[in-house]
Amino acid sequence: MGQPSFIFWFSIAAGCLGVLMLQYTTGGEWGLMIRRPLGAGARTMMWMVLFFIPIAIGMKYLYPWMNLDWARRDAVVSQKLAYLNWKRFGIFAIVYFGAWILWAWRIRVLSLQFYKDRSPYTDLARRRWAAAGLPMIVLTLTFASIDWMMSLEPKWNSTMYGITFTVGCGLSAFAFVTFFLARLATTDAMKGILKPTHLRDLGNLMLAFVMFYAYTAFSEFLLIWYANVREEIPHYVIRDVGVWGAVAAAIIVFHFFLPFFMLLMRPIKDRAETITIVTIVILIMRYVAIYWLIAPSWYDHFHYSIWSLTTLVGIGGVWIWTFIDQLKGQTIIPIHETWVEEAIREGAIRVNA
Amino acid sequence: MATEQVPIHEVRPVTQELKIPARFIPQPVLEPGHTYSSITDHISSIVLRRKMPLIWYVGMGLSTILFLVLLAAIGQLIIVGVGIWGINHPVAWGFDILNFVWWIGIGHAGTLISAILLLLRQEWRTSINRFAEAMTLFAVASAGLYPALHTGRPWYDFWLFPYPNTMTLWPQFRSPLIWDVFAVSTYATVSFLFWYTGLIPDLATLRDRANSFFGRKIYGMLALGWRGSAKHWYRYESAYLLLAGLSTPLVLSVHTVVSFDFAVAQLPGWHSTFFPPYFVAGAVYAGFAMVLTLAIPFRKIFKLEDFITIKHLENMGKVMLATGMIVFYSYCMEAFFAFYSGNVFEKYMYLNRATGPYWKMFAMLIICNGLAPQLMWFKRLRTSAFWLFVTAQFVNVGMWLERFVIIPTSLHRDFLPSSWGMYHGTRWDWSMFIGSIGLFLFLLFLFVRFLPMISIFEMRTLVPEAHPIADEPTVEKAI
Repeated sequence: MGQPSFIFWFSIAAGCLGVLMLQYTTGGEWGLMIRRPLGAGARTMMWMVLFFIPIAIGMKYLYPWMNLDWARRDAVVSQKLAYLNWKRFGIFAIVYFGAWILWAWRIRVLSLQFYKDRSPYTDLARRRWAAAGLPMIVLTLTFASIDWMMSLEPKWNSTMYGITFTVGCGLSAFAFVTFFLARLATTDAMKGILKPTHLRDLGNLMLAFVMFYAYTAFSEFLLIWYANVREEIPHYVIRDVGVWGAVAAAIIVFHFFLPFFMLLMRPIKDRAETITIVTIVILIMRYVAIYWLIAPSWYDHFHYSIWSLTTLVGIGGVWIWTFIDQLKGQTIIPIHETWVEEAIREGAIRVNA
Repeated sequence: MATEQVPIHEVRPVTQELKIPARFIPQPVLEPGHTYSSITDHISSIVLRRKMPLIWYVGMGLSTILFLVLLAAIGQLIIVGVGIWGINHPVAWGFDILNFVWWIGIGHAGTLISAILLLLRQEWRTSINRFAEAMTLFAVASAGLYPALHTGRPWYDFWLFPYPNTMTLWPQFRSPLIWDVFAVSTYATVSFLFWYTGLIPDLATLRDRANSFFGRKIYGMLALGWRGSAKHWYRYESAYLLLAGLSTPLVLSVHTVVSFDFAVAQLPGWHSTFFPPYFVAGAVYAGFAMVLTLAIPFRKIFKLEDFITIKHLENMGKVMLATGMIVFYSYCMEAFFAFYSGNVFEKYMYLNRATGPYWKMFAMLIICNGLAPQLMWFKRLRTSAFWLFVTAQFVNVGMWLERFVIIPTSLHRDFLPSSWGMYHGTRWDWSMFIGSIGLFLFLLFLFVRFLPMISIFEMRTLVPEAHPIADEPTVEKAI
């Protein structure tokens, strides 16, 4: 019950790390205003380890393949036991978290060093770490999603799953940092620095992620529906009927259509108040989509308990506390970066609406 | 705000005081020293005044011969039928769809460069967009031949389109092959319009500079009365942006639909949910490799190094690396899921690909598409025209092999061992393939002879005079 909550907050942290590395690799001016929040979000990964411990302890209650009597008798699952076993699951989880923390920490160290020496070589080293980190994060998030989420239905598999999850993490991160920045935009400290074009830039990138997520999720659904293979179709049969089906419809409307049309409109993207609403819609729907993806693996009929809500709030409280803690002691805008003035003056706009 | 304003150089505590090493100095998208007239002179003279270099005649001659091979192959096909190809039970789709996908993929770079990079305001697209768009059109023309001829009786190809008829016959709308008809024809139409619209101001330049009577008349007609008035420019900019917006989804949609041709089936090796993004990334990857393959020699032959600079080549190398990594990720996922699925047919399919009768193709695929693009991690190699060209050749071959590995290798051994067989392209298959390369190059050589291969007016926007010096920018002291 707590797993969807963990995955939701985890997706923001992992997305922050991914987008941060994308930003340092490409050096696009769109990311200047969000570098600090992204970095702080990425460094919360250390705390996510703590919340992963209950999942590791409770594996036998969550994952059907932990029941070896059943797994060995099943024709399909018995073929997978070399992969689906607790030892490999644990070792891989350590590797994933180790890699994420290493990269988040290394980029932080290089950023602090750059603050001191402002050497282009430090910048280059940071860019190299970030570029090397991109394949790392895509691969680790793919396998983490297979291990932690897809294997809840051990008979089912879909090659798109990792891509959709990775894109979803990026979307969560963009929605979160844009929300954070839009809230700051109204404060005195940021007045005159954060301009509508900064928010528009982030709005456009969010739009791209909203569309990309819909593209991968819909392609996955269409191909499974069309082929109608016995091994694959149960995944959607459960999720498309009854209340789960209504949730699916809500995902189509609120995860795609509503943000899509809102983000097409420049007046909505440019104003902090309105883009805040879009980010809230997206963040809520990210949780709903994650819940819809995970919970029907346990419940054929709709089920939502108070524990799901408490874990969501509880993990969220700690996560936000660590996020703010990580932000302390530094300026929100990385003022030592060489081209910060230009970005502020120009409004950092490089993506056209 | 009433805060004190200070000039930007006084608050910039940055690298100006340090000596910047050469590798950190950005490369220009237009070599310094050019003016409006030098750009116009250089590019338009290739078309209007200059005698073509000898190598153009050699290239044109060779591509004409290959084009004739294509015509012979098509003639034989129409006389005898598709039996001249290697397709038969169990591999009913061979070179025909393989080459169709290969060519369609190559076209994608043109659309990406012209539309998406325009919307992202990437200046480096400017000197390569015209060329890449033309490449898209010629690649789509080569691609379109295959499904049209594979129908067996190409004179009935109009049946592919839904039209009211007395026999009340309609295409099967639930088939992705029909979706292909719509996707590819839309793609060809929009790409042509986009390319032609972008050409209009340059056609007017050629009209004004042409020496011959026919030159003036023909370029004049094609320029559609362009006079360069403010109203013309306003309408041009609006139309161009609109067409860019229309083209953007096409970058995704065409190859997504092409991937559906395979992925909707239940065949192991074809039915995979990640095919749509995998195919799109592969298409962009193949397209950039082809742009590099053509741009590197052409910039040398026509002395265009000032316009197509190392920065362009490096950026294309980076795109190739990024998309190549996505393609390689897909190969890894294919391998992993073949085993993770727990499905014996999936597992066998993968082992058969890697160790079966076509293992050499598979091994070469991994070398060409998995390993070769990794060279692009190194700045020294991606800023070298030679190494970029070499890598692009690996990718060209690799992307053809990828389609071979996906299509015949999955088909030749399906669920029933009694229906297994082998597939080889016949000499007519190869003639058709080589001939379609001939058609592509033939059209391309004609293009560089009669139309400006680099957008003259867009290049003029890159000279320093096009950017009037603004007042010294300021920032608030509070920062």
